[in-house]
Amino acid sequence: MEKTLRVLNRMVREGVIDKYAIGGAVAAVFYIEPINTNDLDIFFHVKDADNKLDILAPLYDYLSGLGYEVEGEAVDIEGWPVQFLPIFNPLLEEAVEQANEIRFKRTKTRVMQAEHLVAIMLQTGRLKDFARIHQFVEAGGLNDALLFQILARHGLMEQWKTRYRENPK
Amino acid sequence: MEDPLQGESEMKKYPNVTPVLKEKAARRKRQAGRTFEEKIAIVDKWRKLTKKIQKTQSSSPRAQVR
Repeated sequence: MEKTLRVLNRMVREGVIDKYAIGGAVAAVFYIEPINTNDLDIFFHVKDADNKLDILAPLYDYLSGLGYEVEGEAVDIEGWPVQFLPIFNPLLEEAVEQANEIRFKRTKTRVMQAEHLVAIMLQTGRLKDFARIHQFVEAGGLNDALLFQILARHGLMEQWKTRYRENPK
Repeated sequence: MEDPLQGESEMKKYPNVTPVLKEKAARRKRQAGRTFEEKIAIVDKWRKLTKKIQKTQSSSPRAQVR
């Protein structure tokens, strides 16, 4: 995966994307036990989002120029299917902005914070998201104060209370 | 007269699996505590294995009939 991350960093350096953060299952693996997943979800800022019908086209053009092939909804970059997901709401925007900068081996990358991941899963609301929220709670290490601030800011507090009552533990 | 339901109402005995479940939880915690690189290596192995299985299944004669 290190080679994949290097390509993503190159995309930022060359201005193809503004900023990115790893989300989804791979980001979850940073905090909890390994999860079986097929792709690497990359959330990114779009440049000139207003003007383009197909916002992924410039990315795909750039990557195909480097010899990477599109496979369904993802692009195979150095053996990892990468799914590029443009930021489409304020919660994702905040999650990308406030992502943790980490190193994977010798390569810098950005991973969404655990509390943002939990909020995104709650907002997405599929069964597998709820199961994964339980894994985060079980693993411990969630900052409750931060989580509740995020949930309140993005109108998710009621959903949380309905599912988990007041206390996530 | 003997109660025909008497046998049914008796409590069935099951083994105590608490230590097994505790060990499972501890193992999950240990897994979670590995480094990101180690965990991604595990995910990568699973991913490749899943891909291999899917490929084998899609090329099997049974899959082709469908």
